[in-house]
Amino acid sequence: MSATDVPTISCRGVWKVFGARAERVVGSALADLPRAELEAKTGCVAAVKDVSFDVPEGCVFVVMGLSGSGKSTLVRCLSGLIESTAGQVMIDGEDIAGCPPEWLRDLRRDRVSMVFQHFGLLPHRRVLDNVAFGLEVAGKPKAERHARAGDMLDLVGLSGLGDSYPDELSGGMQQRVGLARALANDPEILLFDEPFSALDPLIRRDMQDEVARLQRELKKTVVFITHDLQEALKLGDQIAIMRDGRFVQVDTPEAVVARPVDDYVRDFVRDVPRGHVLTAGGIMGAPLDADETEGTVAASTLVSELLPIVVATERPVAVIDDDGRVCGTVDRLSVLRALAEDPAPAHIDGVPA
Amino acid sequence: MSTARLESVPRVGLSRLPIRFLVPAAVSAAFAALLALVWGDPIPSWWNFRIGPWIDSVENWIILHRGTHWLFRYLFDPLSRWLHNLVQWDLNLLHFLTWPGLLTLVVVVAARVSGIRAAVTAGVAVFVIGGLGVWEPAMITVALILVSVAVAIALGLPLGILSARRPAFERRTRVVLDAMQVMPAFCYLLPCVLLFDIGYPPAVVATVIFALPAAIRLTLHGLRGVPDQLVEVGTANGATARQSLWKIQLPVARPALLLGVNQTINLALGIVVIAALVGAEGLGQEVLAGLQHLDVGQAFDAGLAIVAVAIVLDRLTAGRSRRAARAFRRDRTPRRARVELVVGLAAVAVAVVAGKLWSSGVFPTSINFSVHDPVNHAVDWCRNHLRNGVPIIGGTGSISDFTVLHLLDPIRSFLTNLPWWGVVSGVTALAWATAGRRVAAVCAVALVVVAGLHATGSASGSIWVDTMDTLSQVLVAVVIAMAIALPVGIIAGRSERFFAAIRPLLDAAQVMPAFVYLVPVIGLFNVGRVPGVIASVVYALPPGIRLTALGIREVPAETIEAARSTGATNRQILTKVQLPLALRSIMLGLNQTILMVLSVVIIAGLVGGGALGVDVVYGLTKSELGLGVEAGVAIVALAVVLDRMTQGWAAGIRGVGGRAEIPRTIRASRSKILEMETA
Repeated sequence: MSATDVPTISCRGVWKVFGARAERVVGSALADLPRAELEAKTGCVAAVKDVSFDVPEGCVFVVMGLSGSGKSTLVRCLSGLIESTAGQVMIDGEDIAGCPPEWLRDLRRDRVSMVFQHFGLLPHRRVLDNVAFGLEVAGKPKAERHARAGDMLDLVGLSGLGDSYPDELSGGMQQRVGLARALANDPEILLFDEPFSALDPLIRRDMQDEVARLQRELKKTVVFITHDLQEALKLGDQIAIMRDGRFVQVDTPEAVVARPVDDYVRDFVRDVPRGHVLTAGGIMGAPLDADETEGTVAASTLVSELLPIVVATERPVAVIDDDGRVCGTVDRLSVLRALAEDPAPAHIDGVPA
Repeated sequence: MSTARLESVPRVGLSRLPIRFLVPAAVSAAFAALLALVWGDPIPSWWNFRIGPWIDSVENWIILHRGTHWLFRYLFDPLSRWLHNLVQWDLNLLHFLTWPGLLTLVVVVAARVSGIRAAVTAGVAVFVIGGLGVWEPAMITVALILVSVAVAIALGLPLGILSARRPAFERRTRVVLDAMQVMPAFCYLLPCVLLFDIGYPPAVVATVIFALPAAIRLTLHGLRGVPDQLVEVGTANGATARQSLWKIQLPVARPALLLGVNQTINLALGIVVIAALVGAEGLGQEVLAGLQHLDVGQAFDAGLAIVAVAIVLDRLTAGRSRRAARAFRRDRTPRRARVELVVGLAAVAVAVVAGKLWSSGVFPTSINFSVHDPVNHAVDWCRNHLRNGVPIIGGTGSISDFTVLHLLDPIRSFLTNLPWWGVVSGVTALAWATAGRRVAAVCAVALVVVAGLHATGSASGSIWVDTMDTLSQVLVAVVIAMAIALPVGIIAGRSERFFAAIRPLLDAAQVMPAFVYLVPVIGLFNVGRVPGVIASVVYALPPGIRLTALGIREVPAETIEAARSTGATNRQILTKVQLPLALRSIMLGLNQTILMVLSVVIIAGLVGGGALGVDVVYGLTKSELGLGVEAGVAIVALAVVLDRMTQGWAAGIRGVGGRAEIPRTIRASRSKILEMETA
């Protein structure tokens, strides 16, 4: 995936404060007050505070946080559904703040699509017409939009269900319709607002696989909101952990698990099966001479896959990058350390939990 | 409302109780002292709004200038002619169709809109209308309804959309709509006659006034019920505001909007009958004639026909249940839809031709299910056997005497003997202690306004005394109604089967115009105040029963289960869980009961109920408009006091049922209840 010079989405110091005279909260000491105190004092609620990030073309940026952390507000700022109070939201290098409503409308018709938490399907329309909705409001002729909608249903695995009504489908199928609708106008940017949180766990996993598959095929630029860490780790190229409106940490999935910046993030990642997230590249030590190592593994090899390899040999294993060059080594000790390292300080001090 | 809510939350600790009552009592006592010292007793003659004389002069002016002034030449007269022509055109269309054609049309449309079963019911109902021998008046009533409802919806839909999109507009019009709904229809028949003369036009205008608030509010309610997320989906897909309205909000709100149409029709039907008083013919006039000649059979025939018309219109607009609608649209191919349309139209055409050929479209007199004679025989029998000498209860005559001697008279003399400032301050104190400062202020103003009405020629010579008389009748009727509605509602709330069994009765009782109840009641209780009280009890029972039952049924099953699992007995579950939680709904039931009782007690002026009712009727029939309008103002004031106070009680209660928004959004009793049942 080649990142061009201009990131597809770029946010600089974005704030969203709800309430009257919201500007006075931006950047002031008020913003650091606890939520209830701020609301009592000013009547304002600060949902997003000074958030900056870039999403290069074709990348998946996951925003992870608990409910009330401001993540749903943030994603709405990206397509202007909610106007940010301060800061820049740039799509393809253009700041959407202050753009006329017609411009924003065209942006949403052509370039940005959204998948919603509760699917947001229109109950009075057939599935086919739900998928074609965006094309319809954009004024596309009926034959064209129905053909396109049919293709999208094939893409998400709902072939032949176009004549059904949403209430006749299961939750998972409904969200596939939501996905097909978002893809119908072939947008460059896809926004997901906790799309799978209303689904039960097995269906949720299917849908995550589906999104991963589609992303491999279609290479959209994606911002994905979730409160499920597993989901974030599975789908994200980059993960932002959000708390009380601020980004606490923005990193690769592996780095978030391996090097949480504070106790809040550490708490989150505590139960993650580390072997399934950490890779050889992430835990390797300095490269050694070729005669000291035995065998090679790719840098992207998961620690869980590395385990049988280091068990089979007493000598360190060389790690090679995508171009086949040796970039480091792993041995039994580094694997064990990676698996065993418990981020909780209590354990480091030897106090049992 | 917020103060009302805060101050009447029943969690006030014991220590604060005295303050809660002392402050209002002290302020009201001061208020009373002020009124008594400054104005004294009786009400001083200078405290006079002179509404009556002013109205009379307006009336005289109108009579003089009717033919010449531009207001009439270019506004009211053309409007009046236009409405008359619309009704006449409708009537001609109905006549053109002939009865077989209309029957076929009703069946075809009902089958398309609401399904086969509804079509059969509607067809039978059309047949019954003919069989009752009131085909002609029924057609007039139908034509009046069609025009009124069309106008109400043509105004209500856009205004409802506007209210949904402009909250400021909604806030500003709320008071007006409240007033329109609280005011008994009787009151605005008078001004309508003044402006539109007698006949169809004032009937249509009065019906529109009555039904319009419901049409606006149900539209608003439907649009507000559209989930925010779906509107956001529209925006996120780049829909314009107009696209969002037409492609998302209106279609999603469609079931609620159709319910609105259905309710508007029901309300219109209730009022169009009263329009008989302003010279509009139709079923109302048949009932009125029956009432005036004490011919219960005649009134009953017309009353049944009204119910039949209501059933037909309901089946034409009810639509299908969710499940049936899904099955319907699945089976429906475009080809099949075309075939159905052609076959339906052909059937209607054939029926019209057949109707013209066969006895030129007049409903055959050989088909006759009139209940005239049996009803009159039954009434005679009752009169002869139930009046007196029934064991234990002693017969209707003695019930009537008992009610007058031991209920109506003592309360009336208590209220009328109190100095007027005592009543004003007492009511204010009560409102303050139970419903908050703001409600108290409204009540005080309303009653002081009543004190300023001095039209001559009222029943007792004083509007104030008439108001107290009416209030005494309302109080007695409400107490009796609630004493019956509560236990029945509790049983209905706890027993699904019982509720299902009485439901058709409740439905029929609410469709029947209040008018019709007076007739059999007079047969049993003779004229006077008692038949009004009894008829209003019967009329007001359904909402009381329904809202009590609904409140109890809305208590979550989980809560009941939790109570049972802690070892509560059935009785404990009722008294400690269900009743407290249903209290809010019961209070709304009380509110509805009071307003419905008031409307019937007024109508009872026609049969000797006296007081404000007779003032209005007199004003209407004898062209004493000043008196009629002043009595109307007093009725509205009374309605506002009773409505605000009971609304305040309901608002302060935490519990299930009557979710906060509903009472203010949809006041019309039947719509609200249906709303709650379908929610």
